[in-house]
Amino acid sequence: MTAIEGPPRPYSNFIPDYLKGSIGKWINHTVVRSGIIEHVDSEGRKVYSVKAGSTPNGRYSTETMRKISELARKYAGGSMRFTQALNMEFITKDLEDAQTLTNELNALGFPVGGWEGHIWNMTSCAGYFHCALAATDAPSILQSLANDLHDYFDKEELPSKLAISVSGCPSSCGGSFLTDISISGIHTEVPVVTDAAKTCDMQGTAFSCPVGAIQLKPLPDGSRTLEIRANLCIGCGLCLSACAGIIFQTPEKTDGHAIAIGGKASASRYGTTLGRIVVPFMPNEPPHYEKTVAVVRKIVETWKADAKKGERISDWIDRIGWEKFFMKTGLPFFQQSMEYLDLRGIMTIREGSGR
Amino acid sequence: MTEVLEEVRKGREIVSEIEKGPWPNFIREAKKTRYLVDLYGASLYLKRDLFTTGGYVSVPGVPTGILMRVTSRPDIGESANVVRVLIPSGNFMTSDMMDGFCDFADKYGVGMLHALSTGHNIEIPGIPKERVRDFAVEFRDAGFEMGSTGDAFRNVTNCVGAALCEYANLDTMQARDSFYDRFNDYAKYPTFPHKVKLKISGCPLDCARSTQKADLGIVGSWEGAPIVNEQMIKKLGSKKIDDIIQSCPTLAISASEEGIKIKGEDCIQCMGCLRKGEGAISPGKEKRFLIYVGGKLRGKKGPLTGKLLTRVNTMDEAMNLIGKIVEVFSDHAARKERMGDLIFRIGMKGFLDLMGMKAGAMNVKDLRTNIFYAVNEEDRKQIPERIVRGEPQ
Ligand code: SF4
Ligand code: SF4
Ligand code: SF4
Ligand code: SF4
Repeated sequence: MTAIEGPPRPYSNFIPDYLKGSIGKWINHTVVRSGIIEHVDSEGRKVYSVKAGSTPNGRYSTETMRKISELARKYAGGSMRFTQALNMEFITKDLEDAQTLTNELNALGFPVGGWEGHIWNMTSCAGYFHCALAATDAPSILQSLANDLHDYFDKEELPSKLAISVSGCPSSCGGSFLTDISISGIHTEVPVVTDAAKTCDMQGTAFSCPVGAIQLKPLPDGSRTLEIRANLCIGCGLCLSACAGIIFQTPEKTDGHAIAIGGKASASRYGTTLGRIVVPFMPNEPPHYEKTVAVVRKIVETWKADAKKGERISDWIDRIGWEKFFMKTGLPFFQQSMEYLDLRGIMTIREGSGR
Repeated sequence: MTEVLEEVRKGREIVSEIEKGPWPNFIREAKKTRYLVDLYGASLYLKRDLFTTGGYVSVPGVPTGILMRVTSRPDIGESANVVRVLIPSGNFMTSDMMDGFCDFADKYGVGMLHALSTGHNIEIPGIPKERVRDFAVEFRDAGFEMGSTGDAFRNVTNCVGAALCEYANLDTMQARDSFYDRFNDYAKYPTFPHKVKLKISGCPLDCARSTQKADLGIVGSWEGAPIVNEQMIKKLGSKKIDDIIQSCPTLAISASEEGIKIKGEDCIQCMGCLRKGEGAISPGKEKRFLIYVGGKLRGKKGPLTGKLLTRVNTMDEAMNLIGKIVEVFSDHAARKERMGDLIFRIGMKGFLDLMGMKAGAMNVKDLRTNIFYAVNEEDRKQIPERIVRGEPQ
């Protein structure tokens, strides 16, 4: 094998030629229309970014991918990128190309938008589509949300940026807790240890448990097995990825998802915030998850009506407080939204949760 | 004709509902491929994940980059492998490169690409176990490389930075390239206690989310006042200038003959005035690089945000520090303990001690409120002395 080391580089081989002279010289950008941004450098050169929404979990047929690649060849200097938020971005050398490209992307079914006071991105993890650990099917939930809220990506205005993510389990690969609105799958039962656990790395499995609920138990024949102390288990599911012999028994009854709001990233003084859980459990109801969609819609509409311009959801809640948040949205406050931390600051189970 | 299983039939009904609607649709895409739509549909009907953990594939000479996807219902859909592909910095790809990935997905996979995974890799799903080896050989011959799995440096991601953004304090794409020039062995061979993610942002707005999802973050910033372009600022007019002055949380900006004046020592690099300045205000000249440690979502102690470790003056120093941090991490973390969990366990002070660094005010969000603390003889002596001498740190 001809080993190449690491990712292809230098990056200058993979960007449009007309970008090369302007690197490090940008002075300003302006929004031409939702999804088309003009960048100007100090010598007056201009390029245009065209940003398009992507499928919930980023899965594409090669048939579609080849069409996208052809559009990049035709209008964007033979190159394109995916943004941090996993939108598609094309960089054109003039506005006309940007506009034609927008029409062609629209014709392929991809909306162009997502800048300033709009939905920036909607992403999900693999969920049932490709992951072994899902407690909820992230992509189909996100698809339902995106179908409902898509006008905010390219048409209707919002007070500020809005990012939405859905993850299939608390591992949050989809980016839950980081976005303004995030949904995360949760298990609400205690997993069981099956015979297949005998072949697992037992020490490693015990260590994988964040609350020390897993013990090694000696068996009469001198071998050992694992035992889960139900009163300690928080149902995080981490032991399942350490040992295939541990399973949830009735996920169809007990799995669901929680809704958190107010996450955002920033290294400025205001700092990064994580999402706070406003709805601790919603049932998994494919295909359209009507109840979950209604809650999210309610939160978005209330924020839209009540927030000052430029206020992200977390800024808005910081200003009005949680009491007003629940009053204005009409959402009930749940006892399960209270934090339950033990002395080490680790999440513990709620008293009376029946475990 | 064999009878279609109940869960498959019901699953297909659910899937055909999900297929509807205006937003780009992953089912419409999946149906153009050989992906296991029936298995997915059945899992929605049964309300349980039909993929299961376990399974391992080893290809000689490919230490990272191949994952196994095992199904618990081989009667509906077969297990296969996913290959994780490393792509150029900033997630730029040429059309030729994308066509190349498509060719491989058609030939070895199910005709589907995952673009991108949440770790910003291209993934090629559905490669049968017995074909992985051939795939790897041909893939490398075509000049591509896989990686970003296991207890190694996962794919390093960066915001677009100087290549397209006026706020950038550094060429983040260049920074990622040189990271791989220097640390590729740590990325290729899984030798750490747990995975390590590094993200690089060009300014404190942190589009790369180095303070959230990353064990290690580098954020470009500066010291002192932002640079003001006098000509441009005057053109903005008094209303906008007023807006800019109001936007500063530390009241560092005041009106002046030349438009505005910024008091450098009061600036906290919040980016507020730059965002309002329409190009008239840009980052300061004295560059600084903020190093964040311990952010992550998954793992023993739940989600944790990154904490500021220190600021350094050059990217070289930043890279040296990254090297030092992963050494400390390798030496002191328990197996399968993320950096954030280690810091949680031993405290930020403990981590700084291991790094041979002293804690400063930048390392705390807030000060201690618990008065009980073992102030020892040495402290009783040196605390008042330092106060008298006016020694800052
Ligand atoms: S968040 Fe959970 S379900 Fe989603 S990809 Fe990650 S581990 Fe899998
Ligand atoms: S689900 Fe989580 S808390 Fe429960 S035993 Fe497994 S690892 Fe421990
Ligand atoms: S982090 Fe700063 S430099 Fe990087 S893309 Fe975002 S705004 Fe630009
Ligand atoms: S960057 Fe922020 S703190 Fe610094 S001068 Fe501008 S508004 Fe003030």
